Amino acid sequence: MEQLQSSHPRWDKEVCERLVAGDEAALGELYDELSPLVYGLAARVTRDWAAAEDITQEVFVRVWENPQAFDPARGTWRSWLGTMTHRRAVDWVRRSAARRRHTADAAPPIAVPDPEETAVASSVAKSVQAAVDDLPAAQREAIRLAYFDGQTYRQVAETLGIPEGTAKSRLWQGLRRLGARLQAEGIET
Amino acid sequence: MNDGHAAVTELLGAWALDACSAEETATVEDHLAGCPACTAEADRLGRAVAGLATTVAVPPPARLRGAILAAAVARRPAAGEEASSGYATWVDRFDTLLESLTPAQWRERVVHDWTVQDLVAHLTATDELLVAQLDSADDETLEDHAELDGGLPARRTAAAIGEHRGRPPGRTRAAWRAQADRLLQDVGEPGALDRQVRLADPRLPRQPLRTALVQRLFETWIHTDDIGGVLGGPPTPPDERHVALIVGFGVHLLPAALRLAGADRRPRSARLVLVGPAGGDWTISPAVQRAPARPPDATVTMDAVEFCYLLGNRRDPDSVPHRVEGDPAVAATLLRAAATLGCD
Repeated sequence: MEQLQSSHPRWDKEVCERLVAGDEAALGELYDELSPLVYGLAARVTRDWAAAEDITQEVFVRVWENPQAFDPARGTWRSWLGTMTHRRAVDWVRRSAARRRHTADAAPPIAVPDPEETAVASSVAKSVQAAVDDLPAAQREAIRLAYFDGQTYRQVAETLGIPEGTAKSRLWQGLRRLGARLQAEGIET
Repeated sequence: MNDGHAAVTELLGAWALDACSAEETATVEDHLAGCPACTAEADRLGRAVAGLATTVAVPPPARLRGAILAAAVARRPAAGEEASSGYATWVDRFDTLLESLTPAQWRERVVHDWTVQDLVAHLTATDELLVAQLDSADDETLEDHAELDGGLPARRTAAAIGEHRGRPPGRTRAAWRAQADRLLQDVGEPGALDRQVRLADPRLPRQPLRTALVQRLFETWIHTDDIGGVLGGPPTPPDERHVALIVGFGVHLLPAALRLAGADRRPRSARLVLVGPAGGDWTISPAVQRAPARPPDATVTMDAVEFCYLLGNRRDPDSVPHRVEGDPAVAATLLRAAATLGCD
């Protein structure tokens, strides 16, 4: 039987069908392919390795329990798992910020190595990084605060000292520009 | 009427980055459900966001893999060969039950206005929908029949009942059994369980044979229980491992059943909590969820075995014992859709 690559749209569909059918090997394959993305993203946003493990487990168990929530016609497993992971990581960041406010602790810097230093640089990742580096600095910074630090656009506005409307439009314009560039280069995310 | 299209458009970038408040997130997602233009834009932005995640990938510790796969299978068992051995078990039980029947018992009314013999003819007809697909080398065999609508099983059943009435019951039993044995032989072929086939209701999305076999197991079980009940015996609920298969089947097809019922026009999600040894906890939505973390609109809690009877349309969706928290209309839609996943 032909081996499909994860970059191939048919791989997404085939894995989905096998998961729905209860094929455990399909979950292993999905894990091998995308656990670095899930774990790395969760660690980058939460800056907490234990939280990253919990989120990784939650995401893959959820996919196994509910594979039909994924629609291969609308996107890739990579983007689906990225969305699931990011939501959970951002929730974790906001919950722990609320906890700290509640207990009046000063936000302790969490001693974990910056995942960016140990990142696995795939060819897609390199192209995306190059596209991000080419964004206007104001858009790049807004996206970094929102996506990688888990800030709301209101917090982004506050951090950068800009109006909320400006923060919203920088995020939107930055993503549009990034998306257009990736599409022009034929990079499938 | 202004449904806030402009305000939502402005929020889409922040929303795609999960940088909105919970209220704004809900507003955006409600709007997306009814606005194809914003959905297309959201998908475009989503692709850019997906790219960002690739730049921070880090392999997790090796020990995590085994732990996660084990945790997953503990929550929902892998299908494997369980479906075909489970089906074989119920074929034997059903056959043993039929063998014990007197001629008068074959004429007893069971469900609807069907006698035992009619019921066996019905089961033979719905089994045949699957067997015909496997016997044909051509995957598209059923496509040629211009009858791929939800009424297909009922028409085939009516024809089979007409054919078998007046025959000696032993012949009806033998015809069913011979076909069931052929099905069991077909599923033993290498790779057969992964073959994509249609379920009894051809409007549902095609499924691998292992899933279709769970539907055969499920139907053979429920008719064993039907006939046992008529004979005055105690209920014969499915074994725990079969409950798990049937529940898995139901949960996986519920989104499609909800779509067939038109519930995706205003998609709402429900959490289904099934209690009992083969129970579990699932979020079910007719729509593809952009937001898996969003809280469900209703939570329905019920017994896992009762859920199996509900799937077979042997319980009334309104009166089957269950508990609802949240929107009762969402819960009712879910239960009614579940009751459509049987075969009669």
